[in-house]
Amino acid sequence: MIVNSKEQQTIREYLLGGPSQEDLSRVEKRLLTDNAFYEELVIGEDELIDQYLNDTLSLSERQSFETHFLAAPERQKKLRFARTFHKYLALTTPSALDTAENVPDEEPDIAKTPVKENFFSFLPFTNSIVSYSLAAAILVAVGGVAWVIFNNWGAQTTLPGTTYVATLTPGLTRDSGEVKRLSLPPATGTVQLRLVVTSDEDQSYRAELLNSERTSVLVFNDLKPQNQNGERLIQFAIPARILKRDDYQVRLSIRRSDGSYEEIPSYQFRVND
Amino acid sequence: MNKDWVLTQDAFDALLAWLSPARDEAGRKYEDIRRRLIKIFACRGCGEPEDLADETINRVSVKLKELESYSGEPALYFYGVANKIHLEYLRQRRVTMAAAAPEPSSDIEKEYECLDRCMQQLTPKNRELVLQYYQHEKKAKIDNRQILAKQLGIALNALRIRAHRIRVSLQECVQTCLGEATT
Repeated sequence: MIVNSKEQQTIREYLLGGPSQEDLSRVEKRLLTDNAFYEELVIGEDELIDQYLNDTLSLSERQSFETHFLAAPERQKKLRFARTFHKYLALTTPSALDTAENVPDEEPDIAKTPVKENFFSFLPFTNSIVSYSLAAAILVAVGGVAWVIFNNWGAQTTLPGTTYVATLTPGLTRDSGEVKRLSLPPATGTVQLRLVVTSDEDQSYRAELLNSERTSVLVFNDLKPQNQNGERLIQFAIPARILKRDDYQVRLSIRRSDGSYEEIPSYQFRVND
Repeated sequence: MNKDWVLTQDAFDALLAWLSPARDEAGRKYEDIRRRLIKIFACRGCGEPEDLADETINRVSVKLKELESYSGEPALYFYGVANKIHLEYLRQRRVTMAAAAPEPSSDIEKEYECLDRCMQQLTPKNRELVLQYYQHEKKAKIDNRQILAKQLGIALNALRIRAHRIRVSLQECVQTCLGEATT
């Protein structure tokens, strides 16, 4: 049975906890007996989550989403997955869909493929012990290199090309018209962000870079403030290639002694063409 | 709410027989009903939807002998019992707000790694489809989807369903991957 747009709207209201008792009963009975309607509801859940992360829900919808929709643990899992998925999408550009005309209308392939299978299938050994040993050695080597890179990333790291330095102050909002605008020259390899910190606490900080869809792009842990010219600054470097034309937010948190993080006013900036 | 009674193998077999004389068909119906009851309890804002769905199934199992003369859709009988369970739940529950706790960054990184791995397990065509479908935003997203649907020769809603099925399979793959990482 096909679900029309009016029914899609009813499902949306149902998901946000809004329908009348009569509608509620009608929707739920159909959920139990109509496969297409049930699938539509599951799709509706993911679309609501995407809209929440993209900040396109109205204020009342957002409140219902946070107080009602997210009450179920499985939806919190979905939200968490969606955050990761959005992050993946933000960092991935699909190639031209020139071979997609014949995508088969079949069940997705992953469900049939256990994760463990084919994991090291790129290795040229049929003996799994040899393959795993070689893979382990490669992982250790790659991990070591990654560790060195990661630990040198942040304040000191620069990529080929010029470094663009931007100093940000907290609390500027998109609506206020005071957003810091970055116009990155084409040769820019690295963007060095300098966050002016008003707090005088010496604990370590965590900075999370979010795009306009509120998708996390990068996270920096264990950042220490430095005093420069009478200002306290948190500094870290971002590869310029990941900054597209978009509005960004840097969410800064202080690490407390119990390991928890306390958020402090965030920083906004916009990357122009 | 009485949670002392547990579903025995005999009671489970009797329940399946009530749902359908064909065992496989009965198993599918059972799974469908349970999954949908969980969804309904979740939609009503219940914090433990699985427990409430299982309790509903237990209650129906207890009443099977009385149901020999019931000729309606079994799923709707479950629905009536689910409503009673929900009322009991509302009377007993302590109000708790479900704020999603922030995940440690190591977990986020692990989930990202799993997603990356699961993406590689998709066929190239499905990977392209899901990336194309969910990329971009607002107007560009709508235009992009229309172009994509046209390229594939399918209606926009069929594309929406297809992309969503791939997304669901990705989420299941990531959950499996995370489970393997912690065991």
